Amino acid sequence: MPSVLRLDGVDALLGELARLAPDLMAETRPLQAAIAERTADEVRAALPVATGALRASVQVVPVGAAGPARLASRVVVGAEYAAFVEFGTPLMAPRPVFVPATRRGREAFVAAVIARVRAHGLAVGGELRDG
Amino acid sequence: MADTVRVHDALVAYLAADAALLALCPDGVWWSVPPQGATAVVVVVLIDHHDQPGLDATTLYERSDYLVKAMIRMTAGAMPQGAAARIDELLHHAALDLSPAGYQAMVCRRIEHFTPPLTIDPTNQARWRQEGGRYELLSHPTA
Repeated sequence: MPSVLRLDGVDALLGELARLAPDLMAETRPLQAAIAERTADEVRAALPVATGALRASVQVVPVGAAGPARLASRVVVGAEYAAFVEFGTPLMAPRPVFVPATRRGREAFVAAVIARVRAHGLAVGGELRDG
Repeated sequence: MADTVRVHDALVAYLAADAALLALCPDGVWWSVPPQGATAVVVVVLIDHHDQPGLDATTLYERSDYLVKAMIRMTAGAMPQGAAARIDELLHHAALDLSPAGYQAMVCRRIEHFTPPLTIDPTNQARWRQEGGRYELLSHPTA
């Protein structure tokens, strides 16, 4: 028998949150774009350079909103051999760059959003953890 | 004083002490890169590390993201799946004893399976397979 987890009302809850601070989305969108670009720059700066193709393949790809009060951007390293550089091969030592840089980017974005939410007079509680 | 390198060393030593894993990867467990000439080896790579500081000078916990992979040169049908499965048995939700390193393990779990495409050495056409996983280890210093 399949296990089903159903969460009702998530979009309604997000909509409610958006109404609490109507300017928040407008403020947050450029913030996220800036942090994503900064993260991409950090990745580019740390990647090894032989031909420059790996560095040139780093891009920020905007992701369409999946619902109210949702924002997403993706930092992509498009070169086919990017994972070999990050994780190594039997012939090449690993050079982890992407995972730590994007983790720092996610943390920076969450911190920036929390600061904006607090600036609107709303409280933010709980523990933040990288997922 | 917290010394994260001792946690890395403890993880490598823990894996290297497992006879079943060594039977599958007799060239041993190595940090970051395998030794030259190895044909069946386990490699541990630190992918990311993050400290969660406390209010004072303490560290509440540390999060390490390790890639632990078996690398097998493909001869006579040798494949890395068995070693990857053994790595997972040893690490996924394992109660690691980090006390000799001065740490207490909180949780160790796999966050991603790792199985990249075949690697072919252009110098001798040797074919290599890798398989393993990324493991998240949360720990805190006890001293």
